[in-house]
Amino acid sequence: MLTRTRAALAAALALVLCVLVAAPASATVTGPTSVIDQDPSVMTVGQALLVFAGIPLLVVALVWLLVSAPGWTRDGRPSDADAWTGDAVVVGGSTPEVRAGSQPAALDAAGTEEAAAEDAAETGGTSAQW
Amino acid sequence: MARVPSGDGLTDAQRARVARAVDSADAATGLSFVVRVGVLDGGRAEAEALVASEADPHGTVLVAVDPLAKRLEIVTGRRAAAVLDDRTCALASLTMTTSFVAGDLVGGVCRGLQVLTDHGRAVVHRHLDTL
Repeated sequence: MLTRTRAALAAALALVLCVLVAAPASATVTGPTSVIDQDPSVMTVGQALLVFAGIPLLVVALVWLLVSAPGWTRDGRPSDADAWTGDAVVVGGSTPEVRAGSQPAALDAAGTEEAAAEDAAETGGTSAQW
Repeated sequence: MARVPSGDGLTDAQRARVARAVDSADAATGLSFVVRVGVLDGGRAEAEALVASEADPHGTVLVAVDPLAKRLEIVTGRRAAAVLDDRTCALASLTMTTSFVAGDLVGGVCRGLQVLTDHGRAVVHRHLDTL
């Protein structure tokens, strides 16, 4: 019962709002600038096309441009990763071999691989790809 | 100031920016940060070997980026791992790879270092009884 009352109230409210919004359209205003008195032949075919087709197309084109332009910019910008061509660059650290970007000394010398592996077993961190 | 060797792929300004981030991280955490950008054929094992070959391997944090393989390795030594756990490293790697996807290699490295620095910063306790 309560639900039906609410539904009826909502329907009545919606009807009142619709009447209030649509009421000005039923007004009959006659005057020199009234739409009713305008001659429909004043607007040419070209003007009609321009207004009803040209303007919407212009708006659509503007929206498309605004949406697409950032993508063009991002695509046009060279990526740092793509530009990578040469040897490793190392910043920080203390070992010359590491800074030079070559194979580490721990792997070069036989017998030190085990020591490196032991140290490696105590390391932490993470791996990732993109 | 960290010494930066010659290499291709980064401009002087970019290297200087990374060097500043490394210096800042070193100073804030007391650890030794190393950023390596280049081909890492050996993957994780090579990165761990690089850490082992450092003067202070236990206090070293290596951020190795392989731009061609699109691979990132963060290796922490034993002492560094006590300060920067794997979860923190994963958070930093997420920050970095997010920028790498957008093509911002240097920015990603610097932002990742900032994350590691923030989490590894030595906490200063200022209590009245210590004054």
